[in-house]
Amino acid sequence: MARKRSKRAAKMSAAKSKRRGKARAAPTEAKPKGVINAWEQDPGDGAQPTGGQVIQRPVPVLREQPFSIRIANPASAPQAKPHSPGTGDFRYWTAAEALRRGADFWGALLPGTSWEVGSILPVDLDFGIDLNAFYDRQGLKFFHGLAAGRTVFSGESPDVVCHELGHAVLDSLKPQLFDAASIEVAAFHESFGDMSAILSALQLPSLREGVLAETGGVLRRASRLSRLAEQLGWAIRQSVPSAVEADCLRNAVNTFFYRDPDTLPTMAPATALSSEPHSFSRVFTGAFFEGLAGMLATSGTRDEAALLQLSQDIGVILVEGIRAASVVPTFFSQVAATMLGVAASEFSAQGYEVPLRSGFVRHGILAPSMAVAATHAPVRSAAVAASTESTTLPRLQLSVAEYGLGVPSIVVYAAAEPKRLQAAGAALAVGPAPAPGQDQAAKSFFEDLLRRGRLKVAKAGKPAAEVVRSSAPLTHETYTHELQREGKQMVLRRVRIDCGCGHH
Amino acid sequence: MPRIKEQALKTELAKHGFESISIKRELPGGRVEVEANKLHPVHVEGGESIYAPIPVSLSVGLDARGRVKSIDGGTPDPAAVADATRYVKTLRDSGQLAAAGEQQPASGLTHQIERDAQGRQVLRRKRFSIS
Repeated sequence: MARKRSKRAAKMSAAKSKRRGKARAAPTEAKPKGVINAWEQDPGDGAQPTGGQVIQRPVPVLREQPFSIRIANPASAPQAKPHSPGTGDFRYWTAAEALRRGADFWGALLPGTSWEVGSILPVDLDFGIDLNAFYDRQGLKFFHGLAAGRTVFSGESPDVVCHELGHAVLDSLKPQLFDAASIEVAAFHESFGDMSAILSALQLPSLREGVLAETGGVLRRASRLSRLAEQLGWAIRQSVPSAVEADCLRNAVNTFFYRDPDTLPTMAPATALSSEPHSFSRVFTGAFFEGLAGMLATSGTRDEAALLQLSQDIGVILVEGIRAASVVPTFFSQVAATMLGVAASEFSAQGYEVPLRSGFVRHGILAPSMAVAATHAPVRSAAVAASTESTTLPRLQLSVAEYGLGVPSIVVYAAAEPKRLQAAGAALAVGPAPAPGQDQAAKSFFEDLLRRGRLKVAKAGKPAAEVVRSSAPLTHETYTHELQREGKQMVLRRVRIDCGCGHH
Repeated sequence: MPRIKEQALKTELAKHGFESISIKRELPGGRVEVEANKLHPVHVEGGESIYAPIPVSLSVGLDARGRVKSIDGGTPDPAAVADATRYVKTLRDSGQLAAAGEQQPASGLTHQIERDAQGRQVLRRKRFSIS
């Protein structure tokens, strides 16, 4: 795998050299010296509209390749020097810094790609009054708006800037998605914007160090990295509190589970899922972020250098996954499956496919059996004979061949006693949800354990079936069930009841 | 394998009503796999159909000079049409779809219904927004 890494590194280096070569061929100007002040990630901090970290960065050159950019409004750049927050000059340079950083990150992954709008992406930092920001096929547009007596500029937030830049990048990578009339496609575009904000933020050493310190190295915890657009979220919250999260616009650390969008309401408060694209996007973003967190958790080192490498590797996996994915109504699962394939084939030594698969399975984007198939893991088989053990509950022989556990079936104790009350959960439309048969109920329960990472999988079944929780403590196990060999059978046994608050 | 002239192929497929065309890969036997969008009626308003761009995949057969010989597929899948119908409802309910004839999209609007050259009412994205 070291060879694969070297090949990839050489490929990226060659692409960079090619670009450098092109730059040398054209008339060049000396790079400006000095630094500017910028927000690290957002002007806000959690639920507060202020408190963001100010950092110093080299003067960005927007016209540079890859992905040239031009700020059209304001028409001229203020002096490139450290300006104080709260000034127009500061806002200009913080936006420029975020734009260049995001473009550099994606440009390295997409050599030779140009904007869908043309060779240069125009940006308007103050297009009018609104608490919003847009990408259209003319450029990026940011706004200002008043909330609780404070004027908020959306273009001042690197999170917002890199989200919108992400739309422009994805439009260059897969233009078909822009106009496709599909809920999941539209939601994926929004998710890509949020993933762009996250991955672009991770290109800052200070952010990587800060988030590792803030989370104790457990990326799965909510942090400045997972919270998107704190200040804009605050501003919207002043007028419509239910429209955004309690401490930001959207949070990549979430527990949203995939539902067929056809079964969701078209609108819902931020605490619930709806088929509205921004709302529904959180399912994919949550799975992606959990995958990233899991990649760090399973890596040998958890320092900022490792986090930088992971951000670049997952960027490769994401881009190649999107390229290969078919544009169908179930676009989330298409992208997830192709991402797993890329992780398995190009990063097998790093073991990325297990944490990535875990994120997608735990958020319901891929069924466990589909996730196993996506990575082409071999399904192992073993003989299981009948048991003579007496039980207090009916025993079922459950077929589990599709999960790659190493056995074709297991024994479970089914909740199959006669019902005392005819009660069932409600369907989303009308009446009760259909009651599953005992086989189906047992299988649902088993698959749920897999999805939630609560089943300890025997070594013979790894890594095909394992779902890991990036939030799991390092000092002790929190599995609730395991497969125990009893005679010639594998039996599902509960080993503990976990009453902790780790709902993940 | 005929040499694919990408721009010429896109121009040819556009004449068949395909939009946002991308060549996914070359197949054996002088064929290419293509992804595109195709306008399809998904909704009726005021007795008139609303068309939406539906993702489709198609296999295009090329002759020795790279010209389109045959097109297989490219018909919207019923699931994709249902998805688009639901999408239009979501856009309407969440205030992201401007009314027909509204020229200047207001805040929060991402889509408009426009009349195309053939006189059809077509759902078109105008922009992405952050919220």
